[in-house]
Amino acid sequence: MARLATFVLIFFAGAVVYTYPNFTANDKFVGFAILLFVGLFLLTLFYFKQQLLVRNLLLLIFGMSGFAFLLVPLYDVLCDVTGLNGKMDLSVMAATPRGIDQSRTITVEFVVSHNQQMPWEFKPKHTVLQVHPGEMATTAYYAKNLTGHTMIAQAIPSIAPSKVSKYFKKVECFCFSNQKLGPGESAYLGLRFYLDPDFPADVQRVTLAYTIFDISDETKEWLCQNHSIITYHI
Amino acid sequence: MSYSNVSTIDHDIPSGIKRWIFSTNHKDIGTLYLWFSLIMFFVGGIAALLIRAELFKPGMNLVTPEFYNQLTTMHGLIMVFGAIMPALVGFANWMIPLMIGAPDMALPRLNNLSFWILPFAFSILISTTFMQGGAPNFGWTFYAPLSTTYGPTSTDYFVFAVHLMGISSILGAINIIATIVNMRAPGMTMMQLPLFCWTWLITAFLLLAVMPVLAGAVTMVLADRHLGTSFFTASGGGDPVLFQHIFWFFGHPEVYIIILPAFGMISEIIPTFARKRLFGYASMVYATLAIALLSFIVWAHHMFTTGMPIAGELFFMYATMLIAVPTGVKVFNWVSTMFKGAMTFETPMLFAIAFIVLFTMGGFTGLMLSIAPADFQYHDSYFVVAHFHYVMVAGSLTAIFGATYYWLPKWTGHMYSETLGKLHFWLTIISFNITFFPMHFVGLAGMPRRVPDYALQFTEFNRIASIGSFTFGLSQLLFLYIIIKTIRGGKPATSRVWEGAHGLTWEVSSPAPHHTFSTPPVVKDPHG
Repeated sequence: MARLATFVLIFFAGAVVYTYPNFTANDKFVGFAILLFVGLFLLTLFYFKQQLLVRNLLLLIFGMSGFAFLLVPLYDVLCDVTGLNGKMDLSVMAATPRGIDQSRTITVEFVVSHNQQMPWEFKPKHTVLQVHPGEMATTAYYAKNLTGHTMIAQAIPSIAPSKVSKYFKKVECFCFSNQKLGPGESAYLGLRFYLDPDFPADVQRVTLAYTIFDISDETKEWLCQNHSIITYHI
Repeated sequence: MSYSNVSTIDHDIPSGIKRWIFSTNHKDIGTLYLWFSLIMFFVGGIAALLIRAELFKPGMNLVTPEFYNQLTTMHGLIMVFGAIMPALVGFANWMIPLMIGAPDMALPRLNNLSFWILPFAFSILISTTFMQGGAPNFGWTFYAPLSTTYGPTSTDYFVFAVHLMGISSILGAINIIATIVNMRAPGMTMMQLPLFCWTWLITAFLLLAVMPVLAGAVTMVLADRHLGTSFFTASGGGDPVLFQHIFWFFGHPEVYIIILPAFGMISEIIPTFARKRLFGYASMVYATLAIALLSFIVWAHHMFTTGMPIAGELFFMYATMLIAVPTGVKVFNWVSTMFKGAMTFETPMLFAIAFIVLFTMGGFTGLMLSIAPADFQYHDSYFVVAHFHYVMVAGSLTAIFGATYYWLPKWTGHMYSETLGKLHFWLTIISFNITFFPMHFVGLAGMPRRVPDYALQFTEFNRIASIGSFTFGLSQLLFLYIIIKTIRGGKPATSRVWEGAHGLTWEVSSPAPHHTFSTPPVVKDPHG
């Protein structure tokens, strides 16, 4: 009875994964895969009675299969915790940092890299800003859709050196949402940030790089909500 | 004493094609694996020779860049998954039951299935060459986004083929573990196992642990291509670097899957021809275990240039260097086994000695590559190509050649021609070094790998390498000739075959009868 309940629970978990609105396609796929292998693992554990050695080997195989998919969320968590890979926290930060450290000035450079298949003009408004840790700074990126049809873009940031990525706090960023531009339309896409006062003392220069990707094909309309307060269309 | 000629199973050996299709006999299936791997070795070899022909002189000469990329991909995949791995499984099938006194593998029907998946897997993989858009062209490592966003249509066939290979390897590994753990002759303890069985036991566990991860990686590639996920695309919340982590979490243990059984073969051959017991048996077992465990924590040394934090680079650098310690123990033990031994230099012994020398060189270049700051210079250069061919060809393949000559008389009942064997040895080893030694130099000088053209100053060394590679390739036809000639006839082999051979294998008559050890043998001292 308890065994049956376990499988009902797994089935139920699958239904939750399927319907939960905040899950992306990645999350759903990983969820299904892990539930599948957990199910196979338990099925083997409960009902494979004869060759115990072979059963244990099967458990190892199903366990490692599940682990392969578990690597996806593990990697994200690890990158969030360590700031590995220059990945940034894409969530909105509190708008009031504590204190401004006037004694230090950090050079922040802004660069872009074009994804090969992205026919937009895309460049930073300022290539360099000098900011004190704790000081709020605002800048923008200029984007123009050079094609004859409406496109949706997503910008992915990367910070170098990667160890400072967790001290780079964004209050408002066009990268938090998708950006939609009509044919020939252009816009200044806003970015407001501050550097954490705990910013490492040995770093004087930070580079923030944005790559923009064309996600018109993959994006459903509901994803597309351009509500950035400091983004203005020209 | 001979256990062999008493067969308690009274049926005839099935004849014709059905013998091979329906076989559950470990010797027949071992033979199938070995022939399959030899065929794949020649197919992968043709791809290699086309690559070397293109690189004979600078400029685009023979193939298009697109087809060149397909050649490097197919060469890698076929040699790793089609030639080396099935050959090792073939040896395991043939020799493990004979070494431990078992009548057959533990799961004979599964054994049949795990072999017969392979021809289908490789038919699918090789057929992609003739498809519209061409074969996979992203290298055997199928890095995203080359295999996701930019992969040709045939990538889906590649994914399916890799799934099949994975299933085959996993089933084979289950079988080998079950055989070694459950089917040892009464009285044979684990620490009396021949070392080839030990290394294969550990390899089988590695296979079970990482083949599912490879399956996961190709599944994610497939999902990214067709199911709307973006595991490896930054715009959808994924990360291309994640692919490399997942792939190399499989990929690094995979290289030990390829080399550990070869270590086992060498550990069988050296004591036979040195006429001494293997030096440091227990330390060999523990060193193998240590290598296997360390293989799980070093994967990111393939990715030093992806922008890891310093702490990560240091960790993976030191962990990688640590592997040199158990490997050094092994090399020390082989050399100590030979020390003051009454050595003779038959073909298997020549291959074994060449293995020790050349594999150690490959190990040293590996140590050079493990140094993170130096790796930035060596990364993706021909130095890397030289390194992994020294460990895979001069390592695994040389051990496979040596082991073939070592056990061929047991399989066929005939002695091979020692003259031809030695000729094959010298041709192989000399041409191997002519092919791959110059690659160290062009690599250090900056020639990138996987590019069909090169700067003019690399011409001479590439020309030498191409000449060496064709000599190497043609020498293998001699190997094929020797095998066929030995099967067809030759001096009858005694059951012991080699004067210094010890263990249950050599109690069985030559050729080994269809069924052996139907009644379990008595084990006194397998080393004695």
